Amino acid sequence: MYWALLLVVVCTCSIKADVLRVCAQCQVQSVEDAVARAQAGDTIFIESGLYRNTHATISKSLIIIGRNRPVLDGDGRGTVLTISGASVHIRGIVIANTGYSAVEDRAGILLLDSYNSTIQDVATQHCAFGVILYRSANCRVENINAIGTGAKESQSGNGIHLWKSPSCTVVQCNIRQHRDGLYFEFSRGCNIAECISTNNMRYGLHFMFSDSNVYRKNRFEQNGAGVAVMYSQHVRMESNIFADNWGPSSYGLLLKDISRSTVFGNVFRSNTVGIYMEGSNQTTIVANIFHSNGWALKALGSCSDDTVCSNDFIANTFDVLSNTSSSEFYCDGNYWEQYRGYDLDHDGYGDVPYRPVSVFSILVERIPMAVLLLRSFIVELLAYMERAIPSLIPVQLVDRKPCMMPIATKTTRNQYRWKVSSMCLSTHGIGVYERRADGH
Amino acid sequence: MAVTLVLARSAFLRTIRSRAVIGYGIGITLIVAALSLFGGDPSKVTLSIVSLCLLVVPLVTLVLVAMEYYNNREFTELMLAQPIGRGAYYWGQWVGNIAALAVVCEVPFTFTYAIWQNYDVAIVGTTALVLTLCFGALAYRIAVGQPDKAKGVGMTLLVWLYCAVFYDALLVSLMALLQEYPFERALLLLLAFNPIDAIRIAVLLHSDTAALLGITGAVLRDFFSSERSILVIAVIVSVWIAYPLIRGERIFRRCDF
Repeated sequence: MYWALLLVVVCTCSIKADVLRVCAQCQVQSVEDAVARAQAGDTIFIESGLYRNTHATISKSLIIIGRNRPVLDGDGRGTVLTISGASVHIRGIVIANTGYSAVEDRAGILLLDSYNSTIQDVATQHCAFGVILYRSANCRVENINAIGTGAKESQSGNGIHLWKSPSCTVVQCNIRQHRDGLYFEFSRGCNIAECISTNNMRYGLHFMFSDSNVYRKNRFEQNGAGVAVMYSQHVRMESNIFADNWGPSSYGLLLKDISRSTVFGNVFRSNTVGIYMEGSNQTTIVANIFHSNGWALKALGSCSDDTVCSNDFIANTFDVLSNTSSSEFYCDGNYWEQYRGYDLDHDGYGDVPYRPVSVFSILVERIPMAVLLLRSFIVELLAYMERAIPSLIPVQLVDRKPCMMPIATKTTRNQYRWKVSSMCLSTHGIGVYERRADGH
Repeated sequence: MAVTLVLARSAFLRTIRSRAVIGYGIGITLIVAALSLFGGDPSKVTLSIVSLCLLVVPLVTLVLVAMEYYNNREFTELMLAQPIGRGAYYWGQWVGNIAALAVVCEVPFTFTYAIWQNYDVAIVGTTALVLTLCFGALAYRIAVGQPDKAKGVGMTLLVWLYCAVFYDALLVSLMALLQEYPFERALLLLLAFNPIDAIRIAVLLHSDTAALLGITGAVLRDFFSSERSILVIAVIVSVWIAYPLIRGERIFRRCDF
């Protein structure tokens, strides 16, 4: 019996992974050295300190853990950690100074043909790219704090960059001063949640050809051109906040050639344009709040079969600008603050249809300078004339059942509850949504 | 100076006691109270009150100041028979009139704001004050230059119609005609030629900036994104106040009563 037990103990000891320590006084003093000595399955502990000129390539399955946030400095000479093995786990380190190169993409951490890897609690500072995933599937990127170089757009990179990396998860990342905060290309089935992307040069979030991705509870604020999403389908954007994206070519959310997607429970606040849609088909925009935007929703250029339902349009200068008609654009059951109708039968919906596209907004679209006449008497006169003679409005976009009360109610700070109308849920096959969503 | 102040005081007391001015004050109080009670969102209430001010204050100020001048013609003749300088009388009357109108305007704002605190009192107060000064000066200049009361009041009404309605309509048609041309700089200049537009844009800069930033013209963007814009508008409005008054004084000095 005892012999058997001893045998088991000896066996487990022999297959037990080794632990290597890296520190200034240790036997192993550099990360490269530690990686070279380690066997697959080993754990490397990097003790606190500054490790200059670090450029390691990890091609075996390792666990690398930083103790008290050691700093791996690239000294401006290129990518710091390149991971090409499967199941590499990195945690608790700070990476700095990759430098910028026009020839190669230099990153704090580069995952190249890796899979099942995890990067957690990592800060990147002054790196051209924070984290890059190339052809790396099923990876998890969590709690990354990426602060870019703040250099101009042509000389900086993206915070978190995914290229052909399907089924990855990006959560709780905080990205600032990069070119694009989050960038996805040809990456399907990814899950992006609770990230904060602010003050980036170009887009807070940018994806192209990335189908079936889910974006939840993220915050995109004060980015150069807001958020741009293009050429993708089956995208779900839920409970995000798009705020303070100001500028002549800035959008809260730009949807270009997006189809069969859902924009649900988001807040668009103080953007020059809340949502700009172009060539978007079968997309549902349900239960969002548009507050204090210049234009809440611009739908131009061959949008069709889109649903805009149960949204709140509050304190926007212009609510909707569109050149499509109601036959292609379902737009019932929203709350419009500028609606002046009445509800005699008390069913919660106004008895008079609302036409959200005003003559003045069309004028401004044709002649941008005309916005200088905003709130002048002549424009007010135009609005009264529209109400009296609706046939003046060239675009036949009509909300036949405008809500009398806002759909969202604030429950606690930055948390909302939407009462999505049954009409909206049933007639458009979107009953799958839970009726409650919250921002943060 | 002392004479000017005495005359200003008497003009102030006379104006503020007149029925039309009291009615004006009550009207403003009622409207502002209604708007702050039922208006909802503070930014919306501010904009509603400002829109109203931009329309009503110029009209009422133009008519009241001109009427006041014509109604006091005999008093003016009597005063000028005394050893009083014409300049002193001219400025005293204007300051008294305008002070009365400004007080009648500002007091309701202060009170309703004190009660409901539902709008930006600084923006509204400044708008009303600047409009009163601007159109008070214009009306005074018209009245001084036009001895016929009917013609004078008619001219003030035309000035209001022109500034509040026709000018913007003209601008819209001009924009439509010249939309292919780099027209922004000229447009800014043209807007400055109408005090209502100049003040309206100053207010827009504080409230609807998001929409204004949608403008693609680089000239406009530079203008609106800088702090300088408010300064430029302030200078323009000062010219609108000062020039009619100085012209008016010259006419008044030469006027043969």
